[in-house]
Amino acid sequence: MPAANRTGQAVLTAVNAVNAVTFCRVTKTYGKTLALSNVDLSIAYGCITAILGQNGAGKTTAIGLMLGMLKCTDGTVKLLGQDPTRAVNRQRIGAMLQHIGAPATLRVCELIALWSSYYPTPLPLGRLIEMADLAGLERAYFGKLSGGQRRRVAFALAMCGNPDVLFLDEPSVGLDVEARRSFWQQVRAFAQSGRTVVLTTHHLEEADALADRIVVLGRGNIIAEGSAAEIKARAHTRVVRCQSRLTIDQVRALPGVFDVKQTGRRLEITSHQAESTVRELLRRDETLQDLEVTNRGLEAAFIALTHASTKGAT
Amino acid sequence: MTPNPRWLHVCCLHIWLELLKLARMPVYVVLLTLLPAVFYSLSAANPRVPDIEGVPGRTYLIATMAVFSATAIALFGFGIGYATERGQGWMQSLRPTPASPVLTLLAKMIACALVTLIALIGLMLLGRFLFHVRLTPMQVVLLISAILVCSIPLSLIGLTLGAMVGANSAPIIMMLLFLPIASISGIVVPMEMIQRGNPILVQIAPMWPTYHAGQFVLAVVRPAPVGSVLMHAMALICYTALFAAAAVLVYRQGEGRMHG
Repeated sequence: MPAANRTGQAVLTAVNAVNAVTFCRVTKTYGKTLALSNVDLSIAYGCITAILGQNGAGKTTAIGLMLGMLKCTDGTVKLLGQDPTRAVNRQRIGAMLQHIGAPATLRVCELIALWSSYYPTPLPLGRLIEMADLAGLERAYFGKLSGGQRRRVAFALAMCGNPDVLFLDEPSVGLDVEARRSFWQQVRAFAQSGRTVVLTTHHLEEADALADRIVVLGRGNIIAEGSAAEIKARAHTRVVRCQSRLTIDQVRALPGVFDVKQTGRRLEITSHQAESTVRELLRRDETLQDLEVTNRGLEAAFIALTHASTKGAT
Repeated sequence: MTPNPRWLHVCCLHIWLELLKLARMPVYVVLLTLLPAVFYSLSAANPRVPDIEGVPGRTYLIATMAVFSATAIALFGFGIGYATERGQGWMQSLRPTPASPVLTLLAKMIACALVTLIALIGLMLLGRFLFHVRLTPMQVVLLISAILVCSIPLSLIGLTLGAMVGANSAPIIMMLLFLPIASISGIVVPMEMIQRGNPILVQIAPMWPTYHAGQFVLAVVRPAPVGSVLMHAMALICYTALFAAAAVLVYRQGEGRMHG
C-alpha cells in the first residue's frame, strides 16, 4: 500500500518529508571505538540504497541508528522525518536484521501471525509465504530451520507490515544462489511499487544488481556515494595486463599503481591512472608485450576506495 | 501505548504463544505443574497426616505447594525462559517492530500466572477427589486470588534474574536460589517444623518473598489476625515495587550495553 493511502499524522509526515532517512552530522562511539564519524547522509524515498563497507566500517551501526535500535553519540537521525523510535514510524518500516532470533519451539506460521498482529494492514500469510519462498515450511519449528530458511523467515517477518521502508542488513548471507536470485526479484518488485529499500551487503554483486545508489563506508566515514557506475568511475580503477621484464618493485613505483600481481612474466597491475601507468611502462620497458587495459567491476572499485581510505587514515 | 482492541489482540496472541512454548517443553511442564502435585500426593497419602498450625495437613499443603509451584514457575518457566530468549536474540528481533517490550513482558507475566493457576487447580482437584479435602467456594476463590497476587512479585523476581544472567548459566543459578529459599520459607517444610529444627532460620525467613507469599496464601485456610495478613500483603507489595524497579534498571542497563 503506498504511503499516501495510510491514515493519520504519519501520512502528512510521509508526504512532507523529503527523505526516508536523514543523518545529520552523526557520530557513534562504543566506548573508545569510533563506529561512525560525523556522517551526513540522506536516503530518498522510492529507491534502493546499498551501504557497502568492509567489516567494522559502520554499516550495521548505521542501520541500527536508522531503526532506532542505537542512540547516536552526537548528531541527529530522522526516519520518515521523525525520531526513529516513534511507534508510528515502526508501523511503516520492516527490518531484516543480520541475526534473527526466535523461540525454537514456535512454528513459522505462528511467528508470522505474531508479527502481523503488530501492524494495522499486514500482508496475508499466503502472500508472505510466497514472497519468502516458505511454502511447505509454514508448520516447521523455527529451531529446526537451516540458516538459509531462517533468513527467509526473517524476510517474511520484515515484510509482514507491508512497509514503506524496508531495511535489510546483510540479507542474502546463507542463501543459496537460487534463493538469492528469487530474493533479489522480490526486493526489486517491492521497490518498483515506489517503496524504499536500504540494504547493507558484503555481496558487491548484490549492490550492483539491486541498488540505485551505493554509499561506501570506510572507518566510520562515507568515502563515496553514487550510482554503481559513478562509484566505478570515481574509483578510476583499471587493470593493466602485460608481459614485462620490470620487477614488481619497479612497477609499484609507477604513477597511479596501488596493486601488482605477477604470474611468471605476466603482470596484473591495478591503477588509478591507467594512461600514465601505461605510458611509463612503455617508456621503461621497450620489450613490453601483450598489453591489455580493462575496466574493473564494482568489486575492484570498492577495494580501491576502501584501500585508499585505509591508506589515508594510516 | 494506547490500549485498543488491536493491542488487546496482540497481548492475547503473545500470551497464547507463551503457553504454547511452555506446552512444547514437556520437561518444564512436568517440573512446573506435576512435580508439586506429586509432592503433595506423596505427603497427603500418609493416612496419619497431622494438623499443621491448627489446619488439617492436607489442606495446609495445598496452600504451601501452590506457592512452591508459583515460585518454580516464576524462576524456571519465566526466568530461565526469558534468559534463554534473550540469548537467542528474540528480544533483539522484536526491537524494530511496533511491539512494546512492556507488552511482551506483561504477556509473559500473565502466562506465568495462568500456569500457576493450572498448577493450583490441579492441587485442589487432587485434594478434593483423592484426599477428600473440603474447601468452601469462598476459600477456592480466595486461594486463586491470593496465588495470582503472589505470582506478580515472584514473576518479577524471575524477570529480574532472567535479565541478569546468561542463557547457559540461568538453570544452575535459578536452581541454586530456588532450592534453599523454598526450603527455608515454609513452603516445602512448614515453619512449625523449621522452628523445631533451627529457630534461626525462622528469624531470617521474613527476608524471603516466598515466606510472605506462603503466609499470605496460608491465611486463606488458616485463621490469621488481619494485621498479620496486611503485613504479609505489604511485604509482597514492597517486593513487587523493589523487583519492578530492579527489572527496569537491569533491562535498561542491558539495553545500554547492547544498544549504546
